[in-house]
Amino acid sequence: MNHRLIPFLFFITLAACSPQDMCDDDSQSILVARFRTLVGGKITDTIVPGISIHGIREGKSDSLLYNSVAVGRAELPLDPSNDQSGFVISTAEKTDTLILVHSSEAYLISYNCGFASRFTLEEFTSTGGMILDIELIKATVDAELESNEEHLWIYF
Amino acid sequence: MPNLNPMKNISGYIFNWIVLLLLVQTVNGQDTLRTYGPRIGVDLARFVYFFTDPPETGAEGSVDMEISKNIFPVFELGYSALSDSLDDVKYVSEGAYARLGLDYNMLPITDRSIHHSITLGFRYATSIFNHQAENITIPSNYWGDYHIDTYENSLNGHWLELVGGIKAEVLPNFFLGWYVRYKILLNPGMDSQVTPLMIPGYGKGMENRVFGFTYSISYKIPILKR
Repeated sequence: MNHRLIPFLFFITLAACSPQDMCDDDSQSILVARFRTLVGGKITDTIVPGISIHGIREGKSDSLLYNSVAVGRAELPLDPSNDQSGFVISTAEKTDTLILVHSSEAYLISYNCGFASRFTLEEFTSTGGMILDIELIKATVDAELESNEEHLWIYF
Repeated sequence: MPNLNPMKNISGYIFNWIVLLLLVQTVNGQDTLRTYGPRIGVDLARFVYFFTDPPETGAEGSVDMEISKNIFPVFELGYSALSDSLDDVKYVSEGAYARLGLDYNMLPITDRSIHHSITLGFRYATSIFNHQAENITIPSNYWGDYHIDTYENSLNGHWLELVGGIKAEVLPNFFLGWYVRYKILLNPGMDSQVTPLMIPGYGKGMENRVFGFTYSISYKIPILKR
């Protein structure tokens, strides 16, 4: 083969390649909740020590998402089969239940990555008294989570 | 020595066509009457898509007519259907499309009885189609996968085309020709949930700009000679 053909063939091959979507193995829709607190009249981010979180799953055993760890934010998967997702949040002293009411629709991430659910948060409540307040930052939750994306601020 | 420049080959091919047209013009130029009438054509390139992966079935026809010197209004009508399996999901897209536009002949008419043309033009195009995805699974390791039997939506796509091509009269009133088309999708977000895999007449719904090619055979109904 004429050696001058090689770079030509290389560039033709490169040009013929179309970029393939890079897919996460797990294309779930994740809600990000940052923990905050009021100290001396000022709102600041906080790390809650010894926090455990599990989802309320009908017909299934509890499975911990966080097991007695110190974290400043939590990533919570939302339930595509129901119109609400419930989570039990507890520390050594207190326990609370977070209920998120949402609508959802299926959408195609890409033909390589497949389908996911796009959620719209409609209502959120807590029942135990540990959570002082919840603030909505972004109502739409989908499978394409940006690095600094947050959906709720939870005040303890 | 091999020719390493593909663009030279393409421009050489076009140049050969131009020379051929000019030669034919010179050889046959005896009659100064020009034939006018609607020219009806069929896209032969559509039959090639049947052998692509996934296969696409369809047909396309066209009508154009020289209404004044070098100006050809054009109307094109077609139908496309595509079916594909993506993992467990079965996908179908099918519908009709139409294009309306104008071609301008760039080839100088030195003999009015010669009807070859090299044209530049534009189209406005629209498609009404239905697409459907079956057996959808939304994965969820924590809550359990969610299954949807069928997603279906009826859509309307719009796009513009810049078109360049050649038509050569190979026999009296019979033409062979081709178009290269540059298409610009005007409403890429037509379905917020499932982007169409194929928009009839346009191409891949995930691309906002695409190229297309048609190769046609057509017949001009000779209504008037003047």
